[in-house]
Amino acid sequence: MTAAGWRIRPGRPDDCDLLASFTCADPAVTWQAEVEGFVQAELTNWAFDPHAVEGDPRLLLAFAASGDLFGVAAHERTTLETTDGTQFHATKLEVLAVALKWQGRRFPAGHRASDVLMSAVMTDVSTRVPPRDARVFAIIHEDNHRSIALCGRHGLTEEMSRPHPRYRRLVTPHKAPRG
Amino acid sequence: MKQITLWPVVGRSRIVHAFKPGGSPEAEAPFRTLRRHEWASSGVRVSRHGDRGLAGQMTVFSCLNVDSARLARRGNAPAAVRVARAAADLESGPEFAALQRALSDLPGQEAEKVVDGNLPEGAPAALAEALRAVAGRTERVRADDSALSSPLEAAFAGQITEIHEGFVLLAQANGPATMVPRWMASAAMRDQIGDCFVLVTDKLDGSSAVVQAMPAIDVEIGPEQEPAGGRFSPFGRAASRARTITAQDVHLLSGEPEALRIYVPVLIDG
Repeated sequence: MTAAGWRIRPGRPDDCDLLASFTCADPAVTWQAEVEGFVQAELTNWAFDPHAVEGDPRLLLAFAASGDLFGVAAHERTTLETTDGTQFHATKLEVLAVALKWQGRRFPAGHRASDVLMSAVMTDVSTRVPPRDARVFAIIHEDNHRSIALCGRHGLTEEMSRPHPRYRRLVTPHKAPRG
Repeated sequence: MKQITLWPVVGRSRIVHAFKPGGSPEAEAPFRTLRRHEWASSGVRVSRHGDRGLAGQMTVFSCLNVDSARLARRGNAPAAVRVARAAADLESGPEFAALQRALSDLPGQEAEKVVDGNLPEGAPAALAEALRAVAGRTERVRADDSALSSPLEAAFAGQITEIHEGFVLLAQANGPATMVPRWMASAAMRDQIGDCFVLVTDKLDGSSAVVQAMPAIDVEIGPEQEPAGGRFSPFGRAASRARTITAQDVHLLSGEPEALRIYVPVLIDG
């Protein structure tokens, strides 16, 4: 545990039971429930799928000093591609979920739980070997205003095309191409 | 656009079977449990008419109740309640009211057959239309709720393309095909070339599942009825839409990515 009051560690296959009891959603809100459902039932399979090793999938679990699992995040390397084959390597922020009782809460030093978790993702992406392209995107339901704001604070500020009318796709910025 | 989808209405026994696969589908207690926890809707009463007037009543349910019963069985009570409420909404809607009227107009035991998935030849056009309307609305509800596309349940919807002595071949349009025991297809009242049904594989535990042939209906969905954007999940690797980008995106992504912003210094355990 760090002095700041949290500890982040990579997930393990045997975390599936821990994740099965993770709650982060109002079950009446479909887009929240789908996040919780994914974390509870699919995330460990996603992270440890032997056919997906090439994408370097990463699962991160965040614990408070009390031992509470306060957040879960996952990301992997992927390729964005147009129909004519133009490709960009990127990291997809697969999921980032803060436990219900930690939503809106801060650590003693003043950091939001969500900011700690997102910073852990950015740190992890930055330190992967082989290095990832510094291009991170996330797909977020358009009504998920908290997550959209969180992404904005952490630099996912550019709006790409929507993969679905109800879902936004946000990406980190790029320098203007040279002449 | 043609779409093969589950028969939109069910009787109580199918709901009970989804909740207690090994038990008697006619049992009363499981259905009372479902109702008490709001994991099933109340259904809609349909009057049956005989030669001498009213010949009793039957209750017809939205097929979403089968989904809510499965969710309840798996312990996902919040999703079961949510889906059962969606079923109740659907049952109180205009499409279901039209279906209720069309079923009430049928003679004798015909309404039961329709609920079981059998649309008799020469059935009134209003009945077929009402079934399609309910099926179409059911699909829109499904598209909006990720709990209804659970990986614990696989649905293989297709048409019979071949009939053999012991099995039929169920084929998806321009897709794979699978063998299904003929008796299973017959139980779903689908045993002719061109008939459509859905093979639902419902996971029980790590190594076993209930496989059930369920009647289906071929719904012609107009563009205005399609769920906006169709089904989509932001999770997993299957949906190529998450990775497909446009020419405008190419413009946005061209150039060197800026360094990632790390807002709070964080250490990650090895």
